[in-house]
Amino acid sequence: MRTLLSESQRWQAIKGASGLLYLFLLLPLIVVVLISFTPTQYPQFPPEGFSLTWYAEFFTSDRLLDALWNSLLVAAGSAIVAGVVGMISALGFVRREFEYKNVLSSLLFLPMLISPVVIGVALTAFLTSVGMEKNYLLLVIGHSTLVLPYVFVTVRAQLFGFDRSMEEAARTMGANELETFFEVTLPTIMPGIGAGMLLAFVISFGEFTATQFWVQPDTITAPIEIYTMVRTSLTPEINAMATILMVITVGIPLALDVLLGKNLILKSA
Amino acid sequence: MSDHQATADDVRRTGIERYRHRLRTTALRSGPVLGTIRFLKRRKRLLTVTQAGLGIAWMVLFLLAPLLYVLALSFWQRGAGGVVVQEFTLANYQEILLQNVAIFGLELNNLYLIILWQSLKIGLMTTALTLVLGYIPGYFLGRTQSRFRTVLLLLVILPFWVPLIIRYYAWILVLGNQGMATSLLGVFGIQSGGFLYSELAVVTGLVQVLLPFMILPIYNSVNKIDDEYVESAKTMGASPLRAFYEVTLPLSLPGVSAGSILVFILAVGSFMAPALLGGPGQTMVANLISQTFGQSFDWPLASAMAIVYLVVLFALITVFNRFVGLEEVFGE
Repeated sequence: MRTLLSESQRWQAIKGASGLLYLFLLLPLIVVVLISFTPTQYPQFPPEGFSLTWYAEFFTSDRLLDALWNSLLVAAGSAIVAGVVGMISALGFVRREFEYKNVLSSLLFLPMLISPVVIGVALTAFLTSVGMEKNYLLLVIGHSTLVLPYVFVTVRAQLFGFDRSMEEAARTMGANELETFFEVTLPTIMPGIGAGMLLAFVISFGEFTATQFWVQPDTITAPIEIYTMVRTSLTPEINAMATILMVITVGIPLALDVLLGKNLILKSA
Repeated sequence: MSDHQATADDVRRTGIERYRHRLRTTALRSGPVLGTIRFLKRRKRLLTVTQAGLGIAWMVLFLLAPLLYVLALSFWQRGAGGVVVQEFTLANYQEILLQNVAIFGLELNNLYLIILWQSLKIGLMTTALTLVLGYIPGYFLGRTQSRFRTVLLLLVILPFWVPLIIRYYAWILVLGNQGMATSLLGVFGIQSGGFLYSELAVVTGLVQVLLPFMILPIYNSVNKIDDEYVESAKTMGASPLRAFYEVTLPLSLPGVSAGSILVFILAVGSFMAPALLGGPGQTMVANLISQTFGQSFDWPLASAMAIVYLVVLFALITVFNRFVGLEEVFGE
């Protein structure tokens, strides 16, 4: 079979096309960051000049800072709750035998498949019908439900690669079950738990779709503020806030990853 | 001198270590703890139930129970002022499934069905485009010997960490009337008023946001293919293209199907892409449910819409499952 391109040319073409797709993936986000430094009133590209006006606006706005604080609180709460629940149930699913395991484990993936609008509406309708207020607790419960699959799947992957002879060794040397768990098992699966909790934090922190049904004026989160601003007044202040959120969800984990050399981000994929 | 200090430090550190260890050991060996362990050991079943059961109980309480409540709501009536009247009715389903539908006259003016169809259509378009575009970098990452592969993989994962709202907002800046696309075209003397509020904008946003879900599974399955298979096909006289079609492509199908299912499901249920990048003509099922629930306060009607969406979704998942098995998506 004769072909138009030689093998190395074809590989170069694949490389080039992949490069273009990387551009497609990342360029819009770079545009967001670039426009955050514009001095103009309206976000336009290319930005004219450089200023930190919109960052100053952001850091003097109590409304936006409150929203950021709410997001941090809810994300930290959900990461902890989902981390504990996800770790314990992953242990149960990997190490114990019971009936209907497959069906039951797909139950834990359900929140990934159902539109967050439906989850948002359903939880609101259900919890208000049993008399619950829309408060932080509702947000943490809702977000934990949404992020639980991610913690579950990362911890489970870590447990599959776990060498159980380590535990047996600890047991033979006289450690009891709990000691074995805290001294051997937990430290070994900690990277998986860390990666899962980090992912849970990041997803909860940026969640908008279901959250819009769960907030009250005093629990409004950062993504909700961004959505409101996009719908009402398109100013570069959105870009400044978006850039700060990206520093929190991408910059800080990436820096930690490089500094600690743990590759948590790759593990979370 | 410094040696001496180091030793002192070491002694102190090991001292602290030992103290901590003793603390842990005493706690973990105290009577109540040992008693609990003995108790649980005798009832292995109970331990199983409490471990796996925790996650299951969470989902039953905060996902299944709410969905069952929505099912009940969908058969109730809406009273004056948005109050729910707990009396059985089929009116909600009748409104969204049968109103303005005349199949034999081929007349379809039913808002819900039109929007449901539109969501499936946009979902299919997004999946097809994501597959074509995502296969290339997925294949590249799976075959490359570059020492930057880890970094390149990281670059696919990172957008995933950016809040979705920002990723869609970014497209407003690119496609809007003073956006990047307009300025770039302006350089070539082409006038445009931007590309927002169109199907093109919605699909572009969805494709970009969902691409990592396609690239990563394809990368995983291409990466698993043993080089020797491809090489031996070539040694036996297959051209590189034929080796690709006969060896690499079939072996990468698990990744392709896993990515496609996930992208399709996520695209059909999308709220933000149509809300931010689409016009009234691009309303999708999630937007309609949200409007009916939050703006019209018609909870029973919104619930019926959600139930029909879920039934269609799970019917499709079951059909997919016949062919591929969802374990591919989540790993086993």
